[in-house]
Amino acid sequence: MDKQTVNNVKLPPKPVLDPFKIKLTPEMMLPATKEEREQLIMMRESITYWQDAMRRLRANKVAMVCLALIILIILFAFVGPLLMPYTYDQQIRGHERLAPVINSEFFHPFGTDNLGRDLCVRVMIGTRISLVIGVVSTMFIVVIGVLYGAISGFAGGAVDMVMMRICEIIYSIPTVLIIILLNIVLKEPMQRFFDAGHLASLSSVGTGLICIFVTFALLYWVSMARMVRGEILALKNSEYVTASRALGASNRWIIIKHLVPNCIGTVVVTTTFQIPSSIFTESFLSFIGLGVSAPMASLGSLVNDALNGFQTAPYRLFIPAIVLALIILAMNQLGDGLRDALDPKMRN
Amino acid sequence: MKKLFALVLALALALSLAVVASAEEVQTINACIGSQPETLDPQLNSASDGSNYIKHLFEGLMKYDWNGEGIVLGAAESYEVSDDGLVYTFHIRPEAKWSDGQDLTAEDFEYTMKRLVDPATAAPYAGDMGKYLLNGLEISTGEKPVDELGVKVIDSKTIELTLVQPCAWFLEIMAFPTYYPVRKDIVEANGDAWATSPETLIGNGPYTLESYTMDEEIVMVPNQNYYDVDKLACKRICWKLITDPNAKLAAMRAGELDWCDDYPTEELASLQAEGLFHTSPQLGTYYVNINNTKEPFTDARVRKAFQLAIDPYYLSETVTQGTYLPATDFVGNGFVADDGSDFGDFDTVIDRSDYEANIKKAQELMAEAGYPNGEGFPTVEYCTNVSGVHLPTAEALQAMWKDNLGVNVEIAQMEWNVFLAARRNGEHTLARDGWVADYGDPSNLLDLFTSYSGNNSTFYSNPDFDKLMEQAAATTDLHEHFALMHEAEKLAVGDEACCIPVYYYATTWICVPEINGVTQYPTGEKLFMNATK
Repeated sequence: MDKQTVNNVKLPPKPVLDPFKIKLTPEMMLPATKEEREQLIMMRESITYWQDAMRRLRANKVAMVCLALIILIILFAFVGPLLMPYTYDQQIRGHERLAPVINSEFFHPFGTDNLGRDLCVRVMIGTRISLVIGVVSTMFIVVIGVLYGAISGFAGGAVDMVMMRICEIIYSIPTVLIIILLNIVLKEPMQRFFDAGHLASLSSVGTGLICIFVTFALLYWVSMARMVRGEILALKNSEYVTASRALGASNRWIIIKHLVPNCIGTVVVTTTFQIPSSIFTESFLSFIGLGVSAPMASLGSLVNDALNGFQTAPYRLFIPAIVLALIILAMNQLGDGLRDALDPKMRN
Repeated sequence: MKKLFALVLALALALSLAVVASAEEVQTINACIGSQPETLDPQLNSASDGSNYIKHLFEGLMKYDWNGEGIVLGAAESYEVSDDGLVYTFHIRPEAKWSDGQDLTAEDFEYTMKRLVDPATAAPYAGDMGKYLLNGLEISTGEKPVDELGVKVIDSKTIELTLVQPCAWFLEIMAFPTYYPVRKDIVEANGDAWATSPETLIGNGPYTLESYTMDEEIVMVPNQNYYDVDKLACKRICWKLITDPNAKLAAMRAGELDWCDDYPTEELASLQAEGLFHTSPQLGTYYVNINNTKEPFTDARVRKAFQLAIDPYYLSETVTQGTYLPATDFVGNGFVADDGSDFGDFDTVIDRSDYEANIKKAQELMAEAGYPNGEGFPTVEYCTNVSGVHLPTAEALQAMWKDNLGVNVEIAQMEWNVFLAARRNGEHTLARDGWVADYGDPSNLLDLFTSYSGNNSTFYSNPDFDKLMEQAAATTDLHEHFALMHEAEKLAVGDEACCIPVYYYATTWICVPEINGVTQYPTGEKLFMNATK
């Protein structure tokens, strides 16, 4: 599997000798010393695929800036609320409709909304919701998509045919419709489930958000599965697979140990592109009222709330919109960088 | 050549003049009073936007004067009342016609009134409005056949209406859109779709449909067969059907909209500064509709706790920025009887003087009902449509209930027509609701809680309340009439907390400075017959 490592070894230049003028001395016949032997075999330390990828990623300035930005945003979303003196749903009387203000009386760096809630902490929580949605739903997509695609591609024939037709059927289902339907069907049982005291932490985000998770898990893995299947089809006739099979490896072993690791680059890249796309979908759904339920905030719902007075208080609209744009931009740029870094054909 | 040139020039001049002249002739007033209305069918409508369109397209025996004079004769040229106040005889104007030129007859009114109370029509107002006519209520509940309604055609232009009991505001009822006539042949030939296209929407009002584009606009032009068509100052009204308040404001700033009753509420300060914002009092109440048939709100203690745990003063001041006033009763001020007694003089049915004490009382009630600190209380849903102050009000209420009672309330946002249907069918647990008086008597608001009202979406049902309302309707003594209704209000809204009054409505609108002549009534009518700009 480590094809690249072989290419990396550079042999020392051979001494140019004229065969007619050679004079052999007994010293030349002595066995090489340990040192010489080591020099001969390896001039440079071998580096793995991942080390190589990281080296190239580090060289990509844009990607590194984006990575730093993502880390900052994660800190903002997860550590930030701990530092703020308010909670996201705290309606402070007398603090309504403040413009961004920091003085001895008020501390609202992003201002407050019409109910006296601090927008800074709401943007932090909204960012957290958006990030969690991006990561959790992408996890569903990766696990289901990779396994499904790998099995389909590896099995081939009739199994592949049936599995891919199922994919196409799922692909043709309109997402928003499913989210609305799930919302209706799941709402009451889910509410009863929460009221009985299970998963209390999830209940504050509301059933709408959970329906979005379920929908992502049900529908969005299809393109991932197709991608992985394509890779597997190309890889499954490789020599190392044949060799493994000749040595008696089971299908399961071949998929998990040989095929999936070899298409990991594609998976990682698709994943980083999937995260911003999930975040964007959630924001859109919250914007049209299908996402998080009030008073929980997501970036999309914050933008939606701010629309009501965006001529008087544009900062209420722009701050969450800018954070959303930054997350999506950073994720996409990082994805670009990772694609360049992980694709061996792109190396120079 | 020169002559030809002069001729062309003269022609061009004449043409451009003609263009200017015709543009002046059809000056269009662009107004917006809502998004796509649920229906324009007078008997099926129950929403205020629909009712306003109907007042332009149809006309009852009586009507709201478009100069602001109150209730005046409409399609009727005169009427007589019998000495006992039970029989009204209306004489329809001989020149009154439908917009397609057919004569307006007493049979049309007979058909309309029977259609209203017929259970097969399922008119939301069948009980509330039909009950004034003899047997109207019984017919609407299916107890008596439609033929027994107290309506009699004397001749083609005379109709005799028999009342259940004398009613001081019966003429106002006759001016209510539910009693505006529809044509039998049209309705029967086209079914429910008759009120959706200019070809089939035949009315008898001052205006007629020029076009109706769903979710876009309703255009009205004067009805040439209307008897007073010459007196219409406004020659063309284009009702824009816009949902988004920002879009409405943007349209107004772009000159595409002259008058609008909705605006982005958070822009209030700048709208006031620009002089676009206007307000006037309105007879109506904004309240939280509690579905009295849904657990755990079947328990009056829970309802009362929810009622006491909110602070309308804060909501009024903060959420509406003072445009709506805080409600302490279900029936607000402004209902004044002919003898000068004001319904607002009674004590308030909900004591809002001490918020802290109310919270404590609410917590005690919740504990009594078996939910101390909200433990064991299921998460309940609050449905609302999303325009105006509805969503911020919902969020503020949600926080008050959460903080004071420890209960979780989820907010469900719904599209207007879906919301109306859900509320009417009782699918909600809690819902935003509001009622603007249809006529100037408190019974109009309180009738909502009678068990037989088609508009009773709280599904509150209490025979004692029904009896008090019936007694109040039966009495001719105005003092007693008010006293009985106040007692009823105290029972339903105060003691049993069948709903939670939040604000008293005010009419608020934005309009360009050039427009004038829009006549508004505290009961919500917005008449554009005199509008010019």
